[in-house]
Amino acid sequence: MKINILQISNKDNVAVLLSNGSRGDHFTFENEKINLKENINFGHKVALKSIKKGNKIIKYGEIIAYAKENIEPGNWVHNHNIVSDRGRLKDGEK
Amino acid sequence: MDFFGYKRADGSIGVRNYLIVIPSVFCANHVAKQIAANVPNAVCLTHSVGCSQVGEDLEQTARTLKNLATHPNVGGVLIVGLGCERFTVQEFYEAVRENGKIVEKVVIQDVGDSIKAIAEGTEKLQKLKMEVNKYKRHKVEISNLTIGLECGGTDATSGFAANPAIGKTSDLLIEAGGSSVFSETTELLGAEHILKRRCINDKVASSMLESVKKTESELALSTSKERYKHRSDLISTGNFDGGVSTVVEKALGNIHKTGTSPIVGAIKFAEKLKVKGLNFMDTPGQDGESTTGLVAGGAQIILFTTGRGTPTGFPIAPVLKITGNNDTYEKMELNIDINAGRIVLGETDIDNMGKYILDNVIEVASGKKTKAEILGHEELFNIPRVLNYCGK
Repeated sequence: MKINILQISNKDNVAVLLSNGSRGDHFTFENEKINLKENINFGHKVALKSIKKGNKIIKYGEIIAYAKENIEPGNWVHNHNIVSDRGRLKDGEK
Repeated sequence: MDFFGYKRADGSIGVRNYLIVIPSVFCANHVAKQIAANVPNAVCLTHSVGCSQVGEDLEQTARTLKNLATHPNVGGVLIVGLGCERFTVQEFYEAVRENGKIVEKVVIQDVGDSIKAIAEGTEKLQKLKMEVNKYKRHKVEISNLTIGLECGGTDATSGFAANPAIGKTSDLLIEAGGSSVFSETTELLGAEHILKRRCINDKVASSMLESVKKTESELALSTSKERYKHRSDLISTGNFDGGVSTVVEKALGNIHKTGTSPIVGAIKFAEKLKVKGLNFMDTPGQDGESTTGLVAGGAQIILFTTGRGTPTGFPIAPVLKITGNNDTYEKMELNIDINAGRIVLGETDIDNMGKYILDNVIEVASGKKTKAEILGHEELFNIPRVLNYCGK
C-alpha cells in the first residue's frame, strides 16, 4: 500500500510517517519507490537514504542524532539505531 | 483587537478574577485549605516550600509566591502563615500591598491554634470576597495579553503541527503589541544555535545560552553514573512511543512554539517580564514547574501543546490544550480544547490554525472557560527548588 510521509526540510535524510505503515508499504522519494523494511508507526521516522554508522541523522534541517549502525532507505529510525551526545558527558569529562 | 478583562491597580489586566488563599510556608497548608473550603469559589495555592531554604533557593520561592499573589488574574489575596518561617508573612504581605492588590493575612502562631486561625481566616476571606466581586470586565486591547507557551506529553506531531500553530499565534499576538514567553531550558538542547540568531542583542543571547549550558552540564553529570544508567533517559517513554528519538529532536520541534518573532528578553524562573514581545524564561522541563514560572512571570493564559494528551490545568490561569494528533483529540476530547491534528489531515494549514487559536485565546481572555477549568484541573502549580541538601 502507498503511504504518506512528511520530509520537513529538504536537507532531511529521514521523514515522518503520516499513518501507521507495514513492512512492504511504499512511498516515493526523489522519483524512487522505497519500500518499508519493517512496520513503522504514525509519527515515527523512516530513512530516506543510506546512512552509514556514525553519520548524521538530519530532521528539521538539523542534526538530531548519529547512526549507531548502518541504516538503509525504508528502515525505521529510532533510539535503537541512533544516539545523541547532548546532555551526556563527553569522552574525558568527569 | 480587543477582549474584556479586569483592570488592576498596577495597570495590568486580568482575564480571571480569583480570590486566592496562599500559604507563606507549607506548614500553613491545611489551615489555608480549610479557610478556602469555607468560602465558595476561593482558590487555595498550597505548596511545599517557604522554610529551611537559603540564597537563590529562598529568593526563588519568595519571588514565585509574590508574583503569583500579585498576578493580574488575582483580585484579592489572603496570606496564611505559621509565624516562624523564613519567608515571612510580613515580607509577603507588604509586597502584595505595595502592588495595590487587596490583601489580608492570618498568622497561626499569633492567633492561637489552627482552629482559631481557620475561623479568623474565614471571616477575613469572606470580607475580601465582597471587595473582589466589585471588579467588572472592561474592553481592553489584546496588547495587554501575555501568553505562556508550554508543551507536555510531546509526540512527533507536536513538532510539525501543534507547536508551529501556536508559534503563529504567538507571532500574531506580538504583532498586535502583546507578549509571549517560552521556557523549559532542557528542551532547548541542540536548538539553541537557531534561537541565538533571533535574540535582539548579545546580552539576551548569552543569558539564554548560559542557562542551556548550565542545564546541560547538570544533566550530563546526573546521567553519567553507571548505577543510574536505567534512570538516564532525557525524554520520557511517551516521547519515544510518539516517535521522538532524542532530546535534540524534541528541542527542534519544541522551538517552533516560539514562531519567528525576535527574542527580546531572557529572564529567571518566575521573574516578571521586563520587555514586551517574545521572552525566554529559564525553567525546568517539568510541565508544572515550567507553567508555574510562566504564570508567575505574568502570563494570563497558557497555550499547552500535547501530542500524547494530558488533562492538567493551573489554579489561577486558563490552560488551553492543543494537540497535533487527531487520534489523541478523539480519545481525549473532554480534556483537549483544539485539534491541530486537522493540519496533518490536510483540512487546514498552520497559518489558519494559528489564527483560529488566537481567536480562542481572545474568547478565553474574555471569560470562556477552557476544558481544564471546566473539569477543575489544577495540577500544574509546582514550585521547584534550586538547592536540595541530600542525595548528591
